[in-house]
Amino acid sequence: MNSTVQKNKTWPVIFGILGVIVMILPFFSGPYIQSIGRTVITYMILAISWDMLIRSGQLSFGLAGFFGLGSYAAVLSAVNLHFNPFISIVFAALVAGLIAFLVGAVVLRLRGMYFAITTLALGEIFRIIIHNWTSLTGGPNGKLLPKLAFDGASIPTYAMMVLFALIIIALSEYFKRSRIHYALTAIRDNEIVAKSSGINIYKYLLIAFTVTAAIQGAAGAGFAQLYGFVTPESSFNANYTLIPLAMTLLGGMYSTWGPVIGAVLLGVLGEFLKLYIPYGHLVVYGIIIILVLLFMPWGIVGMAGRLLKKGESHE
Amino acid sequence: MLELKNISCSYGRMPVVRNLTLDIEEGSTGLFGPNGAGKTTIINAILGLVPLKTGSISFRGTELNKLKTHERVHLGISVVPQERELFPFMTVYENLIVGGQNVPSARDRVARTLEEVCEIFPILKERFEQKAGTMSGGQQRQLAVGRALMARPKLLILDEPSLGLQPSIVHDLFSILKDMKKDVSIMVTEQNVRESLRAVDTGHIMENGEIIITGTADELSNNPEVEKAYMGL
Repeated sequence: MNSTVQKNKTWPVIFGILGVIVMILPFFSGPYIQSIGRTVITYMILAISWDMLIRSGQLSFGLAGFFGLGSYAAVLSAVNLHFNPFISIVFAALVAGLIAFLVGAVVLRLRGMYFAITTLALGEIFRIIIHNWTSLTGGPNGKLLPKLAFDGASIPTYAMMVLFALIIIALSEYFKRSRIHYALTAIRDNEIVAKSSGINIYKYLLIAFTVTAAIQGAAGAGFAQLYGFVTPESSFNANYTLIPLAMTLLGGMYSTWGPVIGAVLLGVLGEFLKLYIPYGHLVVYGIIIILVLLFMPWGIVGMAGRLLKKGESHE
Repeated sequence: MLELKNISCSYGRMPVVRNLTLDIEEGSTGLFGPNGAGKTTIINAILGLVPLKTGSISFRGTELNKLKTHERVHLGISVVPQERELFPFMTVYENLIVGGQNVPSARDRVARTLEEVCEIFPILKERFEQKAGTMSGGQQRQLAVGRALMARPKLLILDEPSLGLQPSIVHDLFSILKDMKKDVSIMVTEQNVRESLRAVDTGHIMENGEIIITGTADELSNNPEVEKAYMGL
């Protein structure tokens, strides 16, 4: 048993080292690669946050909603309250988390498809409110930031996103190693038995929903700080829901490293494909996801884990 | 210890438990009866998984009616469900930890309780890394009992523990239950009356949602009606 535990600990370390190398490489390249890196990291953060909630079995399509909400909270707080860029990101996380807490208190009584569709609708409701509240949000024209984080300098903003990603990876790993992980997994496996084992299902789902929405809000805020403007159409874009979901499916669900690997692979591939088939990259995404679901439903990390276990049992 | 006063439950319009009153004392109690008698519904009502139409349930002086399922478990009631109902994708170790970690009074003693449970069921320690869903029926039953014990319950309720198990495993399981009742009160529902009477102090026979016979294990063993209907004698 000890050797198995030892081997299981080795692989996350290898994945971690590889991940750090991939994150460091753009520092030694130009602004274009760093810009791709920032985008990939944004999607990676969203993918990890989506995975953190799906570990409880709750499928959320509300990523774009909280992402957009966070981006607007950051820009509006910077414009109206003169918050500095970093305070505005924290403020956006708090706003998204608070709204998720209030909404979650009601919608977390729903399960399965009902919950998924409600979160999708929530995102759309947020977008419509922002679109029509012209006096505050600028309506369809959006808002401009008076000042970008680090004045938009490429390397510091990339470093900021790397730091952000590392914090979210650490948070996701904390979730995996804490009591929350067992509770969420138990809820996913069998809700009735989870209740009967003393788990306060509602409390744990509300924690997971609030924390993941706060992360999505902070990701939106970070993105707004990088690009300097928000509009309803760009900030609440469905891509912020669908692409992280595809990245997690490719990398493997229920782990931290699945979304990380999925984001790097699909993100880099997407940027490469955009050069040759603009917009066609989404078709390739779709084909990859269909193939993964058909032949590798556990994703890359899950498949690697199974192959490793097979190898160990043959030793 | 556990008092059920005039409780009635139904699924839709169909009554399953009718105005039933039952006092579960400390020690071990059996609730026997054929399929459809209402045994599992009573357990679900105790846990709050089935709403009461009438009556009330209290545990050690605390009324349970308004409490949620997890709050009832926190008071000291643990249930081993009929279909074993483990977390199949979690390992044996994780299943056990979940059992103790979410009950405030048991949380600080998880490591010690784990050792005690592994003393009762040594096979669980050997299988710590194995996924629960891949274990045999008998091992899964042991794990389900072990997980319930991790909560350090005051009352352990087992719903038809012999269901789907071979006779030798059932015999062993009831021997273990007999030993355990020194430390924790046990309520067991069963169709296998002969084997269960070895492990309980008192028993109640149910039919169509009502208690029809109550007595000590000896009294029930010697009751000709019980012998004829439930022991095949």
